[in-house]
Amino acid sequence: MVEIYLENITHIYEGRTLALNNISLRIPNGSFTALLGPSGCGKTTTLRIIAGLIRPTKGKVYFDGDDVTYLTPQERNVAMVFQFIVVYDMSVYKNIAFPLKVRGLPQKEIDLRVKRIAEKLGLTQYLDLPAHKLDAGTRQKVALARALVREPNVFLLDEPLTNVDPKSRLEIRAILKEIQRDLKQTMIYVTHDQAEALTLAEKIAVMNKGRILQYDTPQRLYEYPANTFVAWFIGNPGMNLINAVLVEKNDRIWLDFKLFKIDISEYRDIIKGKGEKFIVGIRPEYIRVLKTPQDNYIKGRCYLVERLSGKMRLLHVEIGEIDLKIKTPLNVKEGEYVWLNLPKEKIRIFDEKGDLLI
Amino acid sequence: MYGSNKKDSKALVSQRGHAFKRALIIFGIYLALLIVSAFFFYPIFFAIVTSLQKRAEIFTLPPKLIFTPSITNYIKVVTMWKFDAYFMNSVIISTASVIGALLLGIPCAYILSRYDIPRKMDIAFIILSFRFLPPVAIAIPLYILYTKIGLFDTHLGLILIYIIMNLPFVVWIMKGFFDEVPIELEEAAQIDGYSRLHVFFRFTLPLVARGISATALFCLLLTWNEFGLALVLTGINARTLPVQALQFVASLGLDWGALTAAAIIIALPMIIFGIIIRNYLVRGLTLGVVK
Amino acid sequence: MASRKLINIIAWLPVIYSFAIIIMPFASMIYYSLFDYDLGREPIFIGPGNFITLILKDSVFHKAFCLTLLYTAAALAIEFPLGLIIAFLLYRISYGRTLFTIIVILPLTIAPAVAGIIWRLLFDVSYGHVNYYLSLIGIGRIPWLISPQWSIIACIITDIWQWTPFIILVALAGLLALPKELLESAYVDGASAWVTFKDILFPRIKPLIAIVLFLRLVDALKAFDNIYTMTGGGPGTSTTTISIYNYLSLMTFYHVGYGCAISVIFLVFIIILINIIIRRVRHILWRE
Repeated sequence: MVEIYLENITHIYEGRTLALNNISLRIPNGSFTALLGPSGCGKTTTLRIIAGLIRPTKGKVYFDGDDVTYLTPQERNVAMVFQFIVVYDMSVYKNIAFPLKVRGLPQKEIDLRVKRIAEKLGLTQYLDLPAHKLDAGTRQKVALARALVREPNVFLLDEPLTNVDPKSRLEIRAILKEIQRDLKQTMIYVTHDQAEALTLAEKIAVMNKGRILQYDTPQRLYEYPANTFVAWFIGNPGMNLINAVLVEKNDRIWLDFKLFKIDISEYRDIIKGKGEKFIVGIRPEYIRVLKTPQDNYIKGRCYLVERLSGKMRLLHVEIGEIDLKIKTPLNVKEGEYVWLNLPKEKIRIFDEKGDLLI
Repeated sequence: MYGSNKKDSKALVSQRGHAFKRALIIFGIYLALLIVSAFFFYPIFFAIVTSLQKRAEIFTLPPKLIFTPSITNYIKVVTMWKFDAYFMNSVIISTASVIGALLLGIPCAYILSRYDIPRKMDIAFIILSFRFLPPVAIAIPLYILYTKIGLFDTHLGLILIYIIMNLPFVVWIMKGFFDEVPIELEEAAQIDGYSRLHVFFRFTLPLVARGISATALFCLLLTWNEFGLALVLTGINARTLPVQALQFVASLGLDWGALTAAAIIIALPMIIFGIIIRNYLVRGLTLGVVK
Repeated sequence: MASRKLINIIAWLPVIYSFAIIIMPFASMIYYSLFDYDLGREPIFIGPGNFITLILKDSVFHKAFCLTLLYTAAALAIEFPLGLIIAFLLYRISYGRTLFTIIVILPLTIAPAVAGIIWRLLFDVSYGHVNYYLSLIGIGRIPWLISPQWSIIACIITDIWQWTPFIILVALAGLLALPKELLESAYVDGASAWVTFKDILFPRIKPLIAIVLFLRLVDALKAFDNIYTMTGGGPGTSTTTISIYNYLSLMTFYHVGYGCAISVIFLVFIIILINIIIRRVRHILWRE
């Protein structure tokens, strides 16, 4: 397990497509990191650069302070599991033993390690069977075993559960968490599925268009997104984002939403000099909603109701031109009026460019 | 356990040494490929160069590469040895036999692809077996028959047997192409009211047009280059190019310039065809088994 | 609209057509093989006489049989490893693959008969380029088409030149169809190029190679064009394979009956061979 440091990595494919735009990332030793983002954001490219399958156009890769940018994957001692399930045309035993055999380890040691890892992954009964005849979930487990048996410095996974049946998916997720805990293995997991990332990872790097937007724990990503993209991307649905204009009156400052205002005088020092237009965000589950008028509550009309799992509903509410989504168990019908309150401690304010201020 | 692995990654090969090793390997690969290409290309290169040289230049060693090219050899071959007549023979016989094979083979291929008839596999494999018949063994009794019924040294005689030679390719390759047309497409059209035949001609056939051209060109290549059957079954009238080329060796023996000119005239159209259908060559050569 | 009967007829049409053309020659071939019949003379029925002579007494035929096997074995033994290696090399490079592929295609487009003619010139003892280049690396003039030993080798070389590209193209197509993650996984696992090829890539393309092997085997056994235009079977009988002998006995020596007997033996041999092989590769060829 090593700490991985990416320093100013820029990567351009075929001299034309900019895949990574000057990213830097420090992944702590023994942590489980997810690289999360929409397709094309550069997460797979990042993973491959860490693996050593690609040499970055610019920038360096460090393992525990050593520059490994020019080393092969073998020399970096990385292990990788792909979205496309890779098993070799041989028995499960031989598959798992393969990297060790290539390394020239003594047969006894190989046997020991293979059996141990097979046990851990529940593959013992399959050891003598030809690997390519097994079902997807088991095959991916074989691929996992083959990667883990080497006791690699870092374990890289590129959307490994996409082609696996749901039941095996749960199994493998549990195995991954267990492994990371027991072996203190540095793991990097690429996915576009945030539910997966949020459950598995200790820290998530949210990426978009070749940049790392925020690298943080799931909680902090959720509560304190560094910019509007992260705010919108994380969560299902993401944070509500509305435009507001700063207004100063009577020595107090307000955010003006045309149909209502929010007093933010206590943030005067932070807000000052940051321009006049802002984006304000609040998560659907934090908006308080009532069916009857109340002080400090804003009136809106619910035009669409989506039923979610359990008793939860997703309300689409319009306040003039502003559109808000609210998650609540309250039984509201389409066309009804509701009264909303935005608790100040849950409001996040972003500047025009989208970066978090408060 | 982990410590030793860490040392592995710490044992850094110097970056320069590493890049050098990689470059060396890539250089080696390209060098090997260059040598291989030279081997495959040289005979053709030799034929082209020699055909453009005059007699004195041809027999000088080391081979002369700088010279003024002249097409006297080509003119000689075409005019003095009636090459155009043989060229026409090859064209007529090849084209006709390919068309014949397409007419017979495409409907069969379609049925093999879409329908379930008794002994379907037998049909396919009997047709396949034609691919493996030794031409010379067949040619001999065929020669006897043809001389009796007057088909010896006729275009038709060769065409009839060449069709059989082309059928395995047409049927197997086209079946492969038909298999790739989703049956849902035809079913949808049928539900819309079109008859089976109409569907075939208006919907399916255009989709495999590319495949038909490729197959046709491939069979053309085969029949054009065929030698054994043509040798036995033709005399002067229907003689095809490859057979005439052998005649040249007998009569022109030492005139390498004319010989190679003849060789290039025969080979050039097929080289062009081969390059055109290069993406389908593997499919053709393996009768549609490998795509 | 089309009745079942019509469908069946159309499907059987190619077979019906082919049988119609071949049935008479086949019949007469078997018929004449039982006769001592030289062109211009009266045929005399001798039953299995020709076959007995061929199998037991004809040393040329025995030699032809051995030559055919030698030619096939030598050609295949070189074409396959060579073809696979070159395919693997082409697989590993990123630039220039198209160009190299086009060059590799060229020998396949040349008529084997024409190839025989070109190589005949190249193998010329005095003026041929082969001997010239050999002399540059210190090897003396080899009597290619003059010596009995070297002429068969020359034929084999021509075969290798012509057909290795076939193996290269198919193997390359097979390799390129493999998912790139397979290769990457092997790379990450640290396998060398040889191990990657042997244990990981090759098993995946085995079915393709089996097909090519099958096709090449039968084609090499019946090779005729390039040998005939290059040596005509000579010098003497040193390159007279079964196909050549078959041809010569009818067209040069006018032994109709004898020639037909050779045809019969050859055909039976081929038919038995392909039946054995097809049984094993059937599942690769025909996927329902």
